[in-house]
Amino acid sequence: MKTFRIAKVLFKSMFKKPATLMYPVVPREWQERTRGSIDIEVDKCIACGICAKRCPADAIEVSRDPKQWIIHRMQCIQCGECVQACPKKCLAMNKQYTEPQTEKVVDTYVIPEKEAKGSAGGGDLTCNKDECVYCGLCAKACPADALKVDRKEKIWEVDQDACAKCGACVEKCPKKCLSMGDAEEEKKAETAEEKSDAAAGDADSEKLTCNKDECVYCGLCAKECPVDALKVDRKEKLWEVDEETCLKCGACVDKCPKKCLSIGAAAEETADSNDAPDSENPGEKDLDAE
Amino acid sequence: MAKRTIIPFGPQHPVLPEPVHLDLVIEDETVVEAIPSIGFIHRGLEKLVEKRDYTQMVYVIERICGICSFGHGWGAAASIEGAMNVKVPERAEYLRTILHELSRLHSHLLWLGLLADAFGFESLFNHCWRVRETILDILEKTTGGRVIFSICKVGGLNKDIDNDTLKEIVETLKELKPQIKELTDVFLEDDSVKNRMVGVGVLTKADAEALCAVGPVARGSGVFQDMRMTNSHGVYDKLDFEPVIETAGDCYARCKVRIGEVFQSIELITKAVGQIPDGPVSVAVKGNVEGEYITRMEQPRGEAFYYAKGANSKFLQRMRVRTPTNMNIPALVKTLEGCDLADVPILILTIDPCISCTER
Amino acid sequence: MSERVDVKQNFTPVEVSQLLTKVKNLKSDGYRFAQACATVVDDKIEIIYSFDKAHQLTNLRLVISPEEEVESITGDYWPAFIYENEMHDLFGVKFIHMALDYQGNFFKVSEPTPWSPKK
Repeated sequence: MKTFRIAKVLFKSMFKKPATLMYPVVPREWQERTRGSIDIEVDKCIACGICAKRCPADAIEVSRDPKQWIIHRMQCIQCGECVQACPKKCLAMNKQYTEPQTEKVVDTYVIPEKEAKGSAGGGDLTCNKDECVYCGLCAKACPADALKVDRKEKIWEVDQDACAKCGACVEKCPKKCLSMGDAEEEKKAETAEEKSDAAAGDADSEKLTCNKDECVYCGLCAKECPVDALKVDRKEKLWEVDEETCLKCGACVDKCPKKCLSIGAAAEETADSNDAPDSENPGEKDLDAE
Repeated sequence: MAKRTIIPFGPQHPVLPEPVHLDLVIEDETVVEAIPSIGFIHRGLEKLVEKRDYTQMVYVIERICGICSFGHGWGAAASIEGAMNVKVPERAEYLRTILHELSRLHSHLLWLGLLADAFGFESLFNHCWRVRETILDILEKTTGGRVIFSICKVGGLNKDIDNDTLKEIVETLKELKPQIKELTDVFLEDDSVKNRMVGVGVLTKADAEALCAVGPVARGSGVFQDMRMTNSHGVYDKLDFEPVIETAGDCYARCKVRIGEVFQSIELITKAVGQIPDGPVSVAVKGNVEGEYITRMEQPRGEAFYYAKGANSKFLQRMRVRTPTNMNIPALVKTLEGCDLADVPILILTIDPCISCTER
Repeated sequence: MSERVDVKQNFTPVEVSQLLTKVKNLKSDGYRFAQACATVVDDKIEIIYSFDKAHQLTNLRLVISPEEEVESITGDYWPAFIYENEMHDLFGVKFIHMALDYQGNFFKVSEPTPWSPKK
């Protein structure tokens, strides 16, 4: 007969502190990641409405006139989708839950008008077509699907009505040829300066290379490539670029976690050709350059 | 011949919060026939695919159930990933496995508590739920939610869990193990508990197969069936996983299977944390869903089934979720025949019903 | 350690007239009924029956028009009554010779057949 087997547990717990909390006298401590409620920094918000579109529970409303950001607190399911989708990163997850209420809470935030339109990039989105390689990354990054890029036809179009002017494409553009409104002039100067090094060498002689000593063959560059010009195989330790298709846009260079990719710089290429005798192209290219 | 009476059982019954209704045909104290009836809380979540695109749908499907929510989110994401031909990074697969096993732990501990409650062992119920609270704390720390995690998305996970936190989890589970052992010993050895479970509601192996039972119900009857034996989800093939199987087929065997799985989950998590590779936890997913894909997943309650069908649009054409309880109701009805009226609550509990899952 | 099963996706088309014979064959091969579900495709209804044997899944795909009657498989697989009643209540699929027919009372819905292609 085995009875009262729980005695051990019971006696132990008699001399222990209670497992429960004297709530609400002792407040509960929330974890760092607790999904409690959504916070907004209205100063940064541009009323693009992407959060409202992404919300699975239709808890967010964004109106452009007057500029307001409205959240139905009781409808929000705290999934965090809006926080991830926000191109301006002005939404954040707060640890504190919405207080229980007898009525449904609706919080309205008024978005202040931006004073100097130009510096905040309030103008229309434009593309400097001289720089553009029509890689299409901007269209992929666009949360509002307002961009149309065709590589073959060399078309870059923006649907100004759909464009939320969020700037996600400007950040994504590897050639930095996109700009917003009045800031255009300034940006152009900047871009020109930045690109002066690259422009010094003839555009055709530019070439994407990988420093294979550093490379871990993670394949992130191949995933980022808009034209699938890269081939990476971790097992075979293979990194190949299809020169024909490569646009030299530099998206892979930005993405590379090891910073082992580079475009154009001749010095690195020579070093690379020593390490990787199997790749003949760098050698040829050196001759061309000379 | 004794007089026949029909006793309505549920949908509101003190023993379980699940809205299942049974018409029990009683002869003396014995159940002769049971007719199940569900459908009190049909929410039509599957129909929402027409209004929510596939990334949002994962959050919707996750909310089918509060206990196996991670599995539902994962199942939905995995079926959409399958249809779109997306390969999830290895680290994400490992983390998903770890989170899934953590939710299995908390589900089984919850069930053990409910079982104790069903036969009136209140202090055991309290202690089971005290231990479960630690698991919930881990889940809140890593995902931000106690029962609804919202961490799974199409293409991987929303957040990474760093290796230090994973090691902490293993340490916590190590401390928890003797505490759980003390409690499960009560279930397996105490006579007052055994009297209520041994030999009650026997489901033979042949019956379990014919009635298409799944999960711990089938495994308690000696059926070799566990979706973790397939490569459809997770990294179980790298963790030397073997299903827990009992052969007696009674309530005690089903309880024993679940207790076995509690300790197995701790082992699996420890192994997974030891092997987890570094790397990204998600891949970007763009484009429309085209084609169809079926994913099956071993939930705490058994095999769950996810079917995603897309017609080249951001919105799916159909997202079908079939939960384990759906498959276990026929087995329940069968085992109820011939049992005592007083054992009905325990029998219903040992299939671990989740009716809100069943109706979606 | 037991072998892992590599689960393949497969969908075999099946006609209404062959359904019962196919299901009987699967039953005698030792298959377990896994699920059945309906999908509305344009104005047709597509029913997928899934069967499992040793963790390997086999699916039958049946395409019918909403008026068509389908022979119930509850004679071979009794647990299918849940799915057939569900499809009947939500999609309005007509099944004949059901072993356990709830006659539209399985799901408590405010209007009959809410997911039918006619709506």
